Amino acid sequence: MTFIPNGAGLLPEHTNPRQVPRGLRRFAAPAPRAAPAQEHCELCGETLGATHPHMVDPRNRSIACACTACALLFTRPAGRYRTVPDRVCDDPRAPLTDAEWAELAIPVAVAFFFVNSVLGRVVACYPSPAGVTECELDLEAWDRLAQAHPLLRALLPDVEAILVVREPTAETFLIPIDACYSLAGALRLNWHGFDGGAEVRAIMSEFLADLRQRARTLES
Amino acid sequence: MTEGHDDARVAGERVEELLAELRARSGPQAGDVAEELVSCLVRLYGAGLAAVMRIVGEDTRLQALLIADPLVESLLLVHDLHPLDTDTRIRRALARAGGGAEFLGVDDAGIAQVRLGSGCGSSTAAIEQAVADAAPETAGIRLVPRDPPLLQISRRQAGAV
Repeated sequence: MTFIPNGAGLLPEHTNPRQVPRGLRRFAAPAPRAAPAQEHCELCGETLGATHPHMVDPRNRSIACACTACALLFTRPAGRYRTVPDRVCDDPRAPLTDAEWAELAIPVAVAFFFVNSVLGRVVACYPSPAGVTECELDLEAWDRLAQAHPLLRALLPDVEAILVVREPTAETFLIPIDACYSLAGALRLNWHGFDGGAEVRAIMSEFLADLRQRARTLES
Repeated sequence: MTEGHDDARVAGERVEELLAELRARSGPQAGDVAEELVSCLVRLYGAGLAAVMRIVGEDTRLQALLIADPLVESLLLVHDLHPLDTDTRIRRALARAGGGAEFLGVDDAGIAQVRLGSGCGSSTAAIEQAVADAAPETAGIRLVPRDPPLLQISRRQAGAV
C-alpha cells in the first residue's frame, strides 16, 4: 500500500494492469474460432484432444465422446454408458471362407456385426451413402459361424464389432465400435456415384492398413 | 455516463450472461454454437458500420456528429471504426473523468499507462472504466500512483548530487 494524498485516502498500488470487460468486442474479431470446433467430454465437459475414448449408450444406440477419466469410470458394464475398448484383433487361424460368407446372405462387401444387448441379438450393418444401414441377418447362420470362429465369440456386447471385408481381399477383424462409425461417417462424406468412387476406396484401404498394423492375434 | 452508452455495454453483459446460462443448461457445445451465432450477427452489422464509415470518409463534421451519439460511438469502438486515434480518445476520456489523471501512453504490450491525479472524482475504478470505454482495443490499464509524497526529501536528495 502506498499513501497517496488525493483525498481518497489509502489506495492500493496498481502494479498489475487491470482487465476491464470489453463487451461485444470479442465477437467482432474476424475469426474468433479459427481452430476447429473443440470437442468436450459429454459427461464432465472437459476439453478433448483429437483422439479420445468414446462411450456407448446401448439404450439410445448413441455414442458419446469422453475424457480418459470418465472413460475409465465406465469400463465396468453397469449403468447407462459403456466405454469402448481400443483393442483390434484378428484370427489368421480361422479365416472366413467364401462359402461361410455366402451363407450369411449379406448383399455388400463391407459389413460390421455387433451384439445389441438391449435387443439381445447380433445386428448387421453396412456403410452406405446414407450412413450406417442395418440389414437383415440370419441369426442361426451367424450362430453356426460363431461356433467355428472364436473371433466372433470374443465380441463384447455394444462396444465392439466384427468388421468383415470381402473385396479386394477377404479380411475379418474385431474392432472398437466407434471405429465402425468413424469409417461409416468418412465413407458417407466422400461417397460419389454408385460404388463410392476412388476416394471411398482410398479411405477404405487406409483404414484397413491401420487395422492390420494394430491387430493382435486373438488369444485362444 | 449517458443512457445510450450504457445500452451498448449492457447488451454485451447480457449476451455473456445468456451464453453462460446456455452453457450451464445445454452444455459447452451448445455454448460454442451460440458464440458463433452472436459473432455472425456482430460481424454482419460491423461490416455495415464499416461501409457507413467509408461513405462518411474524411467529413469531420459528420464524424463529429456520429461520435457525439454515445450509442453510435460505442458501436464504432466495438469494430475499431472510431475516427479518433487511441491516444486522443484516452486523453479525452480522462479530461471528462476529471481529477487530473494523466495519460502516459500505451506500452508495447498494449497496456494504457495512466498516472493518477489528486483531485476529487478520480476513483481508480471510474478511471479504469473510462479508459476501457474510450479505448477498448487496449489490452489493459496500469494505474501509476502520483509521484510519492514528501517531495521535499527528493528535492534535497537531488540537490545533494
